[in-house]
Amino acid sequence: MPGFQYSFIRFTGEHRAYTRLPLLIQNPATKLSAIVLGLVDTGADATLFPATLAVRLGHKLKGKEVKTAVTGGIEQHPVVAYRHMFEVSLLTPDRRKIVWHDRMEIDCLESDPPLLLGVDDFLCHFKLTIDYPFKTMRLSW
Amino acid sequence: MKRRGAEIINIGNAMSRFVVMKSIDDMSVVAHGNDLRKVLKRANRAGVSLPVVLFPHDPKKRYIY
Repeated sequence: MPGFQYSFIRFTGEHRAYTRLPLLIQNPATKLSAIVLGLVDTGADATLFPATLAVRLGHKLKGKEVKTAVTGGIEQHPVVAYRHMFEVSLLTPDRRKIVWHDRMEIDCLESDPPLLLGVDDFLCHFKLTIDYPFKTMRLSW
Repeated sequence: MKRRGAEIINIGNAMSRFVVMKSIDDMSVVAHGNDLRKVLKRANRAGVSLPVVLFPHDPKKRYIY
């Protein structure tokens, strides 16, 4: 069973480290890509991408064929999300190799939230162990 | 032996909502700001083909997702 241990990541200026994972995301139609550090959010049903990133990767945010969904956070306000197809690849902790890959439809929000990795489309594929005292997490599949 | 502790990525004083680094090999900040569209455009102008996009958290805020 493949598995990797990832350290929490703290950016200078933040007061604590967060559960961030390195990902390569690609629009399968345009092949445009970006590397992101997505936040593992075990309380989120679905993964969320900022809409601007989807547009930067060549998606037409509100195109004719685009499916929409209504999503809501802890504040309970309904927000319209635009669903787009992405190739999502998990990178090794040193971010040099792809170790897992899937194609998925992801909700994109115009409010440009940080990239959140939710359960139904991403975390459901992994056995995730988070070690808060050691500031590490282990993903295996 | 179990590796412990967090990895620290130096983004300097770029406390913005979005920060773009040059590449995985060269993690130096090429653009930052609160408008992702503008930040990515600036990074593109700086010659970044595969942007590394970071979403720093505002230390004054408590985040609830």
